[in-house]
Amino acid sequence: MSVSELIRWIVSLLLKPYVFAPIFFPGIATAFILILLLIWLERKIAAKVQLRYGPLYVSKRFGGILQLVADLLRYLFQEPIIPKNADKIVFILGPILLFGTAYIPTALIPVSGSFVPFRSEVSLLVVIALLSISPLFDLVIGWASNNKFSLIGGLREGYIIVSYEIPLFISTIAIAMLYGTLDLVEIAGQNKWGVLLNPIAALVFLIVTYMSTARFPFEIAEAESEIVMGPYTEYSGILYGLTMGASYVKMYVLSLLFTILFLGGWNPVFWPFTLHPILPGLIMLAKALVVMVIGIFLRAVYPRYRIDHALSIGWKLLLTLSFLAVCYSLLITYLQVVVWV
Amino acid sequence: MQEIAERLKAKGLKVGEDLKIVVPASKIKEEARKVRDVGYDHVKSVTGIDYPHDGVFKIIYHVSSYSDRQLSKSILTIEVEISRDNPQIPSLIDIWPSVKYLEAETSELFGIEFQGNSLKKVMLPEDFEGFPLRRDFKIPVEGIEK
Amino acid sequence: MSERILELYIGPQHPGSGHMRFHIKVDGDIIVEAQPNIGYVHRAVEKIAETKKYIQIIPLVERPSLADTANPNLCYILALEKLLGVEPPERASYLRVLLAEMNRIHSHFYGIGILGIMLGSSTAFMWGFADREILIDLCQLLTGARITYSYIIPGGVRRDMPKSFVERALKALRYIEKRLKDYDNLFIENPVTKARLEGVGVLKKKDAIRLGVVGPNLRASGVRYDVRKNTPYCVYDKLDFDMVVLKEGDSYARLRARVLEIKESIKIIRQILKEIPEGPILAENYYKMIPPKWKDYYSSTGILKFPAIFARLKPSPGEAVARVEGGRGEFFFYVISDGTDKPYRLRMVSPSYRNVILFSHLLKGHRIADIPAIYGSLDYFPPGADR
Repeated sequence: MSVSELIRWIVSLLLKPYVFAPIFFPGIATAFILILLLIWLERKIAAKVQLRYGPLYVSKRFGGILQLVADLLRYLFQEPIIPKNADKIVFILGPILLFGTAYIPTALIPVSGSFVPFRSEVSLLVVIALLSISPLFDLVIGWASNNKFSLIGGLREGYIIVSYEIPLFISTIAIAMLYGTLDLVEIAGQNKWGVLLNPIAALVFLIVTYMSTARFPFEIAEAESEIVMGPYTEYSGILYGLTMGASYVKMYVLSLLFTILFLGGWNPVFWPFTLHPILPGLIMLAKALVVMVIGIFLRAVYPRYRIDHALSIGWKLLLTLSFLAVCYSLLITYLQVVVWV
Repeated sequence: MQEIAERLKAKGLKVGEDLKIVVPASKIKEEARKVRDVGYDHVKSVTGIDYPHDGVFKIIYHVSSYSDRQLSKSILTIEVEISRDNPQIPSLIDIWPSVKYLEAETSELFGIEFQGNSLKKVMLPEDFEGFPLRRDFKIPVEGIEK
Repeated sequence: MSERILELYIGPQHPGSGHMRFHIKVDGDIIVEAQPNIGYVHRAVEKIAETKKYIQIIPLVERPSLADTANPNLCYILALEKLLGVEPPERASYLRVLLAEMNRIHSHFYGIGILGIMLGSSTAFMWGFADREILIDLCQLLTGARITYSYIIPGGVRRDMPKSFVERALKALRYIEKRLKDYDNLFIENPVTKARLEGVGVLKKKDAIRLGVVGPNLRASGVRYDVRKNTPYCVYDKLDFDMVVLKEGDSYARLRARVLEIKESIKIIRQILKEIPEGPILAENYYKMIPPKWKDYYSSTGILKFPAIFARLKPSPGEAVARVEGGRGEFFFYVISDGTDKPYRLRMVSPSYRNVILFSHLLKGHRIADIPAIYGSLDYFPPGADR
């Protein structure tokens, strides 16, 4: 094979969905750039509300947007300090796996009708199942740090995980009932706006998004004024950067899922059309960005809840609302059947 | 002030117009109980004063009242004298719980033992030696040798 | 001692503890026992005061209690003036109260900001400290310094009010009143704040009296006691304001008590600016000792230079007691003089020291997450307590 043929083969391999999606878009490269953008945006929005400037020093002309790049470079060169009595292998592997397993679900999320790395008839269920792997590592690093505050933080995270998983599952079942299928490509292809179909399920899913990714008022596992940094207390250097980024990646994945299920997926507001496989993905990304920006704006508004408040919201409020969402879906399906018949 | 002095005298306390009582250390608890029954319900300050020439410590309690309108305008002084070589005095903590930290500070900085107050270490580091507020405490000057 | 109980040190290196340490024993999430461990910033103010002249003690006593510095200054000078037998002129008393009330407002903003950041609301923290700057600028216009003024001296005050002060102060007070509405909307009526603070750390009235608590913590539990109303000093008996008393006694009541006290202080400052009389700012028998060159300087700029007698003030032998209501509570000073130019004994009790006893009483039975909520609502200031 000549060199030009080799290059063409490599490029065509890179553009295949099962390589392009997990690595570039909507996979890890996009997630990475979005984290840098989102944390800068969070600090800037909070600063504007609080009558100050926010990050301004790095790249002054663009409003300090490269601040996070500077932070990341600093983390890369910082020495990660490992406590003597901590469980070394788990201590180091914990954040890496926490960050890594957070974006596995992007392998199943489609960005357009034909560009999906792994197509399956039950892809919604697979995504929900894969979402529950990453939070377990919070518990693991809480134990491995050999620090009482980390232990308390890890246990708090464990309680919260259990309380939000069930409403998450039931509300997705509620909305999937209205679409009639569990395949994400078909769900988005139907071009219906789930928010209007079943607003109760949308509300539950939104609150669960903010609860699972520690957005205020649910920033309980890493409550700084009570338990130093929660499970992330002993971390420094790039491991700390990974733990901080992991919750943003989780929010990114959940926002993409929210967009497909409730905000009409990759279809623009007025008419459904699809061009090159990447363009619908950008529209989906823009909608997901709106959901994320609302989440990070909450930092400037709310204090944080206590653990028993958050658990009672999860078990009492969200569970009943998700059951109501299922009943509502059943009602709508029944009425449509009656109308058609 | 005259009426308050009258009220205190009615309970059997020897007090003048300046609202000051001088009590021997052995009778401090009964006199304090009489003062509390008049209506004084909290202690504002416990002061220790060192008189090395006379060889005594004087302990001064300033008490006042929150619940009684007339008494809350005044501050009653209770003065006790104890010897410098064996500084011990019964604590008033079961009469007025508000003295807990005030007595502990005086005890730690002067070396006076308040019998009955379990709180011992408040201000100074655990390995500190000496009693700083006594007049003969030499402030250690780090070795400036000529 | 079962195996369930976890012993935690929320120590000095902790974002939510200040300069002190808590030993707590936790069963699950409920606190079984809590002991505060203070003394980390003990600076021996009382011992140093025995080696300094009377005028040098003024900067010494105002530094421990940092957010609220004019009130210990005032308390010390009131005790000293009883020993010296000197009365300040009327204008000086009004200026003293003006500074004390401005200090009370920015001390309460500090308390609200610290409570905000302990609960997690960084917005309340940033706003509280930003609004303090307005008042600190006003204080700088009046006294020349931002936080530690050393403004109140035996016999009067150190500087006269500049001509632009009244207008700028009224503008600042209007701005603060507008901002208080923003605080209400964002922080005080926030449902998360209410859920964190209501019913947490309830201090009953008889416990508050029994433990000798001071300040807004006392008045939020239903006890009607404020030194400015009970035993008025300076010109408080001529001013018209209400005592803020609430009856629930929980952390939310303490927060609301501080906000209401800010509004009362604004009322007082407006009355002072309207009613302040003209006249001298230093007592006559000290003023006549100033050399004529500095008297001309005073007439042109309003800044006083001390007469030489301040360097060797010798009050008559005796003792004096004074109390003053500071932003956090009641200050108590007891000065004993033996006729020389240094005091024989100076006793200073700050309000934070009298509130320490509340920690072991209030924290029992609450959760770990309530420690910052109760701590912030008590407005406990460790350097002020340790002196």
